[in-house]
Amino acid sequence: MLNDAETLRYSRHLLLENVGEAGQLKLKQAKVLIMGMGGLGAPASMYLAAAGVGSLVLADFDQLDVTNLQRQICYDSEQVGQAKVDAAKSRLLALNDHIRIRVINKKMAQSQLAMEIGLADIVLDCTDNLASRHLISQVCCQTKTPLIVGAGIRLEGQLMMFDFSQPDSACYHCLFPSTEEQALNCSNSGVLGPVVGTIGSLQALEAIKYIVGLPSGIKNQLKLFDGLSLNWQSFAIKRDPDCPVCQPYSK
Amino acid sequence: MKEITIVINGQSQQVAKATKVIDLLAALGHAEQGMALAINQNIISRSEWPDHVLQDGDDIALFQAIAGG
Repeated sequence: MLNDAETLRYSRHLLLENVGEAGQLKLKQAKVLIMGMGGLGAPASMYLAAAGVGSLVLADFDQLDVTNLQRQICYDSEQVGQAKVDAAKSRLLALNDHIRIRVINKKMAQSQLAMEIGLADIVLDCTDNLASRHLISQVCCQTKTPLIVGAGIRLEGQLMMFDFSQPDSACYHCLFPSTEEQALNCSNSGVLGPVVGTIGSLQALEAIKYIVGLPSGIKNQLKLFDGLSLNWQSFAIKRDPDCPVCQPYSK
Repeated sequence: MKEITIVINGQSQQVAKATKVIDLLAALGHAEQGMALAINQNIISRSEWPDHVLQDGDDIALFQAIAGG
C-alpha cells in the first residue's frame, strides 16, 4: 500500500493506466544499480529517484570536478571535490526522501560487482570506458540481470537494452567485440550536456518501463542518436552464435 | 553485371559483385577495432564478416562503439 504522502507525490503516475498503484508499488520495491554517475547517471538517477524507485545503488569512484558541472546536472558548484556518489546521494534524498540510496565509492573487483549486480533488478550502464562496459555486460549475462546501456560523446548517443532474463538476449560483446579502448572520450573530444542528458533520461524511462512491466522498445536493439539532426537510427542486434561471452550462458 | 551499388553511411558506392563485408572494410581502409556494421538495419556479427556477401541495394551503416558517458 502507498501512504497518503506517496499517493500525493506520485499522483501523476497513478493517473497513468500503464503505471497506476500496482506499478508504483513495483517501483517502490525495485532495486536499480547505476554504474557510473557522470553525464548519463546524473539525469538517470534523478528521474529514478523522483519516480520513487525504492532502492537505488550508485557506483562511482570519482570526485566531482568543476569540468563535470557542464553536463552532470545532479551536482552543485559547492560540491566540487566531494565524492560524486556522496554528492549525488544528498541531492537525490533532497529530491525524494521516501527512497533508500546506497553508494559504492570504489572500483569494484569482479566478485563484488557480481554480487551487486546479482542483487539488482536491473542495471544501468552509465560508465565512460569500454573495459567497464564489457565487464558489466558479462556479469549481467552471467547473473541474468537486465541491462540498459547508454553512451554519449560529442553530439552522438547510443542506447541499447539486453534483457538477460530472456534466453534469446544478445550481449554488448555480440555488438562490439573489441575490448580495445577508444581514443575518443568526453575528456578529449567534448560532449554536449543535453546529448548525454537525452540518453540518460531514456535509460531511466526504459528502467521504469521494465519495472512496471511494460515492453521495451529497444530490446536487442541499438539506437543511434544524432544530436545535430535529431535523427534516430535503429538496428536489430542478434545474438552472435560464436560470442565467447554470452554463448556459454545460452542454454 | 560485375558491380553492385550499395549505400555506406548514406553515400552510394559501386563495389564488385560477391564482395564480402570483410573485403569492403579492407577496401575502405577501416580499422576493424571497435567498429560495428549493420546491413539494412540488422547488425552483422563480427564472426559473419568473412562470409557475408553484399547484395545490390544493401544499405550499410558503419559506426564505432561510444565509450563515453
